[in-house]
Amino acid sequence: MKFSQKRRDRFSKIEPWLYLSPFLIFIIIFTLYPVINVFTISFKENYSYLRGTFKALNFENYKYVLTDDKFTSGLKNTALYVLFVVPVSTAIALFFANLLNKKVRGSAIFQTAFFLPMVTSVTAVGLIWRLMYNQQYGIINWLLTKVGIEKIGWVTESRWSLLALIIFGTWNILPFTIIILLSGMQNINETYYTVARVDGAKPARIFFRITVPLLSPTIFLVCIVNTISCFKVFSELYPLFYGKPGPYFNLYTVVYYIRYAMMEKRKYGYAAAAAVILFLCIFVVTLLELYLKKRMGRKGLK
Amino acid sequence: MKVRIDNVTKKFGNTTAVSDFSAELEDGHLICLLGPSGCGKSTLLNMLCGIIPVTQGQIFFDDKDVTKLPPDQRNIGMVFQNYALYPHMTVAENIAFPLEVLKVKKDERKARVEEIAKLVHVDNLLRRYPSELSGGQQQRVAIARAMVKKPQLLLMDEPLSNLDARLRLEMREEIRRIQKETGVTTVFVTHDQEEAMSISDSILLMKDGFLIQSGLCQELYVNPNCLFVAEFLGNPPANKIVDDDKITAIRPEAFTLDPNGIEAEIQFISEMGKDQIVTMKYLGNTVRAILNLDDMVSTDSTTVSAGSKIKVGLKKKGVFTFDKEGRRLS
Repeated sequence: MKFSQKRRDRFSKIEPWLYLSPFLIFIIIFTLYPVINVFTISFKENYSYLRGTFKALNFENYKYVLTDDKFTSGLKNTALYVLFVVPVSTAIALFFANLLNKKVRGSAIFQTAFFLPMVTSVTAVGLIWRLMYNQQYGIINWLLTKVGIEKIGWVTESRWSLLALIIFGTWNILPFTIIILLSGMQNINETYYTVARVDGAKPARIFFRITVPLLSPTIFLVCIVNTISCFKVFSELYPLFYGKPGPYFNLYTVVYYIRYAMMEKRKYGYAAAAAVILFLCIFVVTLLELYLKKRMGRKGLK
Repeated sequence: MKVRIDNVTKKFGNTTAVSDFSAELEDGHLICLLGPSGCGKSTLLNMLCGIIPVTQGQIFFDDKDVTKLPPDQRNIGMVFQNYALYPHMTVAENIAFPLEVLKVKKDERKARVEEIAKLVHVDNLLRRYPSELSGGQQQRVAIARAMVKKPQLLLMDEPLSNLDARLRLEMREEIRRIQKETGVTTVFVTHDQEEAMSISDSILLMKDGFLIQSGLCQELYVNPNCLFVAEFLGNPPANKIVDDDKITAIRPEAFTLDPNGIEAEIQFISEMGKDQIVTMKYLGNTVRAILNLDDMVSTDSTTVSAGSKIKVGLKKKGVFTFDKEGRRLS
């Protein structure tokens, strides 16, 4: 079959869109549409999802959410979670990545061991951690009694629950952080270390004066990615307290609040407003980190 | 400082990188470790540095056995092929790093950095980052960093191979000048015989892990102990003429125009300054000779070009004969 020049021209204009369309359609339906929808719903007072009706367009949802104790304490818990998990996990990951980067016998075994949590389900691991946290029979309390510390009600007392969540969250995020930092370290030219060793620099100095500065772009990257994922903490919380936000409903997080507003309270407007507030928090913090990266980033590193 | 290398051998598994190497390096000399790539010269340098342990044999700095000492206790400076300047530190911080490790006080550190920076002509670049420097400037900074702690021995691993031709010539002279001014014993690794001839006091010529010949530059050129040395040194390389029982190596400059000489047919002429490199058929072999054909043209009044026949003779200097194994006969 022969096509005229004109028809061929028209086809070549459409062609790229044809290739893009499967992905574009997917993105529009499952990402773009929901995002826009959440924004609009957050301004609709008394929105009914099934009927699509609402009373008025205003800030009532935001007013309610921002004065709800569950949400404000959730925001505080989430902020504390981010504030501890991100720096602590980065520091621990730096230490382990540095060890894993050394060419020692059996390092492949260690690498596999460290990366294993990444391919396991958070929920399954969370249930195991709940057992480990068990006040009477848990391995953590057993170890603590060995060094003379009294048994702690990690997941049964409200004052320990946030710490339990932070420890589990840190552990859970480590493999990803280690992988990223390790791959960054492996990109550092070996001769930098050789030069430093010829000059007699000790491992600690090499680590802080050479490895860390050369790795700083990767460290910033991993901090930003982890901050975003920590703000959305939920799947770590859910199995640890059997679906409750803490033993006495004391440990709401922002995402847990969104779930609660939507699934239990059936208030879609509140959930949407909370989601938008979370988005703004993440947005501002990420901008702050990018600004810090620009200011603190070493000039020689491009 | 004098360096003595005593029967040093290095094995990586079953392969021998350096075998039974012995040499003495004179105090204050610039010594070139020369050889084709893969001959073990970098391995030897790394053993002098202490980065690679020695399998067998000993290394002495003056009279001290340093074979087992780690690099930082040998008081050496090292310049790498890719310079390895820390990209996140300024030039001043880079140069000061070895002093920082030695816990030299800040004031003294600053003074010594400035002093060495002046010597290598980077004193106006101290606040810059390595990425803002040209290749030659980075090279200078790398030398300054290696020299700042006043090492007894300076080691350079193919320091010029990352530079373009013009800069290479400039830095060659600079390295020579800096070495002369400081008087530090320097070992310089290169595979470029021309570079080695022009920069060094003496040469250690290596092949397949063995030391083939050592001595002053001219000594090796004028008096090669085997065919390999005769062929390796010199540009264009010496011509090899194989007979039944011997091999003759003739340096291109050993040919002369001689009316009573042997006839040779010119195949190709390329200009080289005032002389020409003439590729010609000589006794059945294709050889390259450095001749000045202009003299001939003026006396003979015929133009010489490809296809012309000329008569050439040989000077005494620059003609060597070897047996079939490449051992020197005369």
